[in-house]
Amino acid sequence: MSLIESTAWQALATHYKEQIAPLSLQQLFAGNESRFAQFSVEADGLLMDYSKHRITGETLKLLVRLIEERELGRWTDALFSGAPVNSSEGRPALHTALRAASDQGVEVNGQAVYPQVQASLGKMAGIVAKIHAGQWRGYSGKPITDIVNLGVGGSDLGPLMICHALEEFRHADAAGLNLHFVSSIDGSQLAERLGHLNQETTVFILSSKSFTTIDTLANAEAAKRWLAQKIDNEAVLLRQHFIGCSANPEKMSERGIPPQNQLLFWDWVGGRYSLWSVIGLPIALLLGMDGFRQLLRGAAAMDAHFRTAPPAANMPVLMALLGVWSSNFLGVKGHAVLPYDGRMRHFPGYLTQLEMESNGKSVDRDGNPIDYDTCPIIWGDVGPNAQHAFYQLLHQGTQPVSCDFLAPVLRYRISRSDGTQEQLQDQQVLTLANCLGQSRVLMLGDQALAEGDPRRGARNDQHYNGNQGSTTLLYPELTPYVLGQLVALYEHKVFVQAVIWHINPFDQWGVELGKVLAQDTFAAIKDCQQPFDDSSSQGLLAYIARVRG
Amino acid sequence: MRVSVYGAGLTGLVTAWALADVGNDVVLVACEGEELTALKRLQLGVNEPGLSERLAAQLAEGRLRFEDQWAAGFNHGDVHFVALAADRIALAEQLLAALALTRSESLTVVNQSTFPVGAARRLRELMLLERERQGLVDDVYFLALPSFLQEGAAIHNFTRPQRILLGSDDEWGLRLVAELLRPFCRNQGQLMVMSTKEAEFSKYAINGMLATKLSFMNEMANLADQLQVDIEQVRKGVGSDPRIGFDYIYPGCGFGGLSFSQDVMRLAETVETEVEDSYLLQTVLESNEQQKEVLFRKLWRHFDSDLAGKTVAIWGAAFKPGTDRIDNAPCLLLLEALWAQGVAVRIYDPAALESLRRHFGERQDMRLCDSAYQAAEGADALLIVTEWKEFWSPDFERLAELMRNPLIFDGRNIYDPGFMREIGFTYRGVGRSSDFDS
Repeated sequence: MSLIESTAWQALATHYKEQIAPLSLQQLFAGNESRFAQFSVEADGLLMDYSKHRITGETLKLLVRLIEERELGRWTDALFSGAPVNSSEGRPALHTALRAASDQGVEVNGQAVYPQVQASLGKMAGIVAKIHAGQWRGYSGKPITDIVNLGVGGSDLGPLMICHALEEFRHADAAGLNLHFVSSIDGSQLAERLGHLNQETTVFILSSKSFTTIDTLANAEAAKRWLAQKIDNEAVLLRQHFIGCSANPEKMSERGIPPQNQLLFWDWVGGRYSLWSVIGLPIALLLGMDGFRQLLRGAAAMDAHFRTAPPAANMPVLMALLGVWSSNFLGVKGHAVLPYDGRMRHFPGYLTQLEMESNGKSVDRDGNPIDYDTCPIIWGDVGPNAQHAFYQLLHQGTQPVSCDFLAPVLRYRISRSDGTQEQLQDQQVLTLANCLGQSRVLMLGDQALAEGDPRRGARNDQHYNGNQGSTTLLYPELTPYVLGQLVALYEHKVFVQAVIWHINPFDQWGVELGKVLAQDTFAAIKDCQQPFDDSSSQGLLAYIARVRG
Repeated sequence: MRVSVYGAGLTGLVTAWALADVGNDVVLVACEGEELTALKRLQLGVNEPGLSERLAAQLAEGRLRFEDQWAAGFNHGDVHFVALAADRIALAEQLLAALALTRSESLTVVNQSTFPVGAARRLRELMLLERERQGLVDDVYFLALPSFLQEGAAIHNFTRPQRILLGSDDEWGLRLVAELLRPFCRNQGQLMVMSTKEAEFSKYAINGMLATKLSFMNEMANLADQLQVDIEQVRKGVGSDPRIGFDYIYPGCGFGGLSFSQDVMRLAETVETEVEDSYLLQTVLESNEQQKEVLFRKLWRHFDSDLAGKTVAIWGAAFKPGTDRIDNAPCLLLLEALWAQGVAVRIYDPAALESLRRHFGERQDMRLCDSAYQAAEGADALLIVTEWKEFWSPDFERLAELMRNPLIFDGRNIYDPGFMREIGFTYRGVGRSSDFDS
């Protein structure tokens, strides 16, 4: 039976048409003074207010019935216990095992997972300690000052996002260490970076789960040639200037990465779920192992919350349900993630991959085409900046949207020597005020203004319709622990939605074909050939050939 | 005059002797952990030619006494000389606070220790504050007498100084101390008087200039290595220019000692929190820290970045010959670097092994040896870190037999590369090497 024919789904559809469609958020709030109490959760320091969604108690009840019908409990057990939930590739997705505080007895192919995870973390800790002590030496014997992470997708976005967000938690021993992230295949980031770096004091982290990613390997080759200008001995070049992070040790060895510089994870960790593994090496270098472990602890706490909290008080479950409600019943095609915190600049980009690569699917787990929408388009930016960019569409565009607002309550609590602490604390209040103000306008539109305010719907072009749903996540302060919670929250949201939609969130076949076609096209451009029979490709290749001469 | 001197380092000992020698009644108070009994037996922590005999003579005359109770000094002196190590400002604070209360009348204090700029004023204020709390009103005269004593020539430096730089912020203290120093500055213009802060800053600038000269020469030596030029020839050429001179231009594996430590050289450490640090001096000190690893880097490159399992002999740990101190010494960074790569170290120093043991404790990969030759046994390379006299002309034949490789990295340039090549050693100095075409 298709999802949309199921009892719970049908009940939701009817409920929407009869109960919700006629009501605006403004009416829902007017009719129920205790919406916040009813539709908010506070757990382990996080506050999630989802009262600004077009739901009633009945909606929630029906949504919970949906996950019961979809057997979320069974799927969650399967996820955590190492069952092959990645069905198309026949393997588990055990990112939760990477942050488990103790041995849960999980095995893959008869091998205990926990000891492997700890061994890998231990090896990473050794490398971090050596670099922090200034005792990882370049070819000339100088200590390393610059680390360049070469990786793309999951090997880039997670570490980049977290290092950017947690800079103020930089470990004292990392004071002189500069971290750089290079991902783009066109070499533009690398070429720019290399101009500022010194071969004597630079180490490249080559991060690739498969160790066959052309983007990363191409950049690694460029890095190698740059190093080879100064280093004759290739063994020394690789031993002192490259660290490999991969699930494929054979390929790392083939590429000449010596065993002591190989950090391992496993094919049962998805790339976009891998920041908790050795792919997090840049994070560990920034925060130190203690800071990295705090990040893991935060995620593990969210894992526990996800497994134990009842659905109506379970943040990832609620987030997932509200997403399904918005996409499948309210017709939302776009979901914006809006951190009111400049440090979280890369968080929306990170979620773009996590959600869209996981749930941008149109075939169910059994290989059948589906007849309902899955993941909406996810985008976002730092909230206050986005207010000056795409909020216009949120407030006055033609389509329904949904938003997640995220903000820390406190910032700048440590006194600053530059005399700006008080001003910055005020700016934090201003930021919070903007965050709350925007979600209120999205909810109420003009109605947020007092009765009789002349700006209230005076002109059509100044009219705000409101009635756009949003979730607000507040937390006391941004810390490694809290960021661990937040990332795991979204990971589990994605998983719950995949269970409802009956899709596999752990594969990404949609990114493969383009890579294959690029190979043929590469040869076509190099050799000025015209192997394709469509006129568009022919025209583009002809233009390129003409310009290349 | 009755004089008390606090601190039995080189400056304290020479000052006490010299003042007694010209007729003053001097008490020297050992207060930096020096053993009074050892001191009385003239077992000094410093190795200054002629000093023991001279001290013995003054002790016999009765014009000099050694004590280890602060009170003995407090109750004795009309003038109090403080001559502590550069890192003992906290001790100076305790000592002077106690002095301020023990002697309630007007006091004259002369600080010879290398403390941060502004220390004299700060210490004086501290003493006055202590007195105020007890309702005492008499003044404290506080002078700064920066020490310019060089080891080996300290007695001559004190008694026949080229100049005496005296910092004073008031007339009365100045008159008293000038009188005390009169026998040592009989020529016109030898006594330069300025404010305490100016005197302290002069000392700072002099040390900064010396450090800069050394670091500059080190950088020239590193360039000479790349250019395959013998830095010794260059050093002689440079030193022959009278505008530069031969002092403090010997390249090497970095300078140490408390006076040149980051703590002492950072102006931000002073009371003037708004002061910017000298960009040039910061760079000088940072490049010196790197220079301390120069022997490690040479060894590292020699063995193609793989030192695991190697055994290395080290000659010299003290920050300079003639002392057992390892404060800020190049060997500290060198040892850490070697150990981090899995190198076992055999080390010999005529005086500083005990200091090393205290600093690092017992370690599997640090063997403290009884002789230079014992250290060399089975070594893959020998590193020379401190230029003790006994290292200058070793039995090279014996050395070659004892070592696994005839390979020497010399951080003090004490051998001749041509000769070393002839007797079959691979020899790398700082800015010179047996590999260079001469």
